[in-house]
Amino acid sequence: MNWPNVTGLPPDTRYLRVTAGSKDAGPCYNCSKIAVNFGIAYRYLFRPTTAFNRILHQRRRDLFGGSGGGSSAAHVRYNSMHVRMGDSAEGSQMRSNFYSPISDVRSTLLEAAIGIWCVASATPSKHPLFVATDNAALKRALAARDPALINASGLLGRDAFRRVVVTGCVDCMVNAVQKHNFSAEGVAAIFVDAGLLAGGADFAFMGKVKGHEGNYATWVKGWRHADLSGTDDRPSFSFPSSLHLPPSASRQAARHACTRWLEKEVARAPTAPRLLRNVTVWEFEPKAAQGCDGAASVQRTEDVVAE
Amino acid sequence: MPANSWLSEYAAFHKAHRHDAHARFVMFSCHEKMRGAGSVCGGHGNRFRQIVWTLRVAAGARRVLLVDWASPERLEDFLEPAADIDWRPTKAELALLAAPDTRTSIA
Repeated sequence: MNWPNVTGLPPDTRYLRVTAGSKDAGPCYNCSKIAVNFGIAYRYLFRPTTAFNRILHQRRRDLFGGSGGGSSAAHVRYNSMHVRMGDSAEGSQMRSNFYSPISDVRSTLLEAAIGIWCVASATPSKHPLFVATDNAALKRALAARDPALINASGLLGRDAFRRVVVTGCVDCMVNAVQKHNFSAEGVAAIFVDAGLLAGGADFAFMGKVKGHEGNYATWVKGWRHADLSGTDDRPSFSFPSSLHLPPSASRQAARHACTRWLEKEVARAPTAPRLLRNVTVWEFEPKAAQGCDGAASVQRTEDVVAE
Repeated sequence: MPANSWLSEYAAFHKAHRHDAHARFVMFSCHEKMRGAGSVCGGHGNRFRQIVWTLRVAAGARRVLLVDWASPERLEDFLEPAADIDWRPTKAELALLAAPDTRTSIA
């Protein structure tokens, strides 16, 4: 027995099992007036268990340093970024069991590399950038901090990933899109990645499709939601998935793409969140000298870390 | 209606009816093998968005929300209820839900 029309009264069975369902704001019976904010609803329903929180805090200490013990330990501040390149993007290890091949390419490896380099460049030099991705080839390059592994060193320089931190497996796809036989470590990695992304002072993501952000990024944003008031005071930033750059793009073109994005984020102020929460005053200077990463566009006049 | 007032109202309903013998439930399910859905539950982000949709279904239909996420891990190994909506199935419900799926589903 199915429930073919979910806007109608559900079948009168005691346990109604939803095995697929719509996304959070999809139509359903008698709920057209129920306004949903994913972040609020998520935080209303979920929080990490005490045991998993301990694992997360330990992982933070392992990755970023810091002192003390328990969940109140002081931690090094970091920013985070999720890069969803797509199930059929170059470097993906997704193996479809669908009859029709999946066509899901959101970014090329080069575009992903530019996005990470750009966000890392806008991050204060003492803060690491934690990156999680669905892409095996990108993850391998990030783990080695070697853009040459994805042929991006010529464009971005050999130290483009020097602030990048990753964790978990390499040569793997971390998310159970179709697969259920994950190892225990692999399963934990899905939640560890999400928890570490959520813990970033600022969170950037790539992977929008037709204006809609990826579900994983939505999950992380929900996890980041600080309270139930409806105000999300922990900003997130979307870096464009596609930059429309040719494979032979120049370094200048990459800088230009980065600059354009930073300018756009600046234009979102004052109602939009700041790019970097730990920067209390900053201004964008398009003609400023390039920083050590070659993309520095943010002049920081005061850098206050409010732990 | 303010963004979260329905949540408070539903949380009170959930608490009052969670163990009601006459309660009706709606549960998000992900098992390795499920009737009507094969083994595809989607990625984790997808699932959480579906759970929030299921929450709205539960609120609209006045049913008690459960989250029966069993594959590739039990969700309760990582997350727990944050507020008054205890979405965790009981042991008795888990035994019932682990049986071959012959109950109603949204295909």
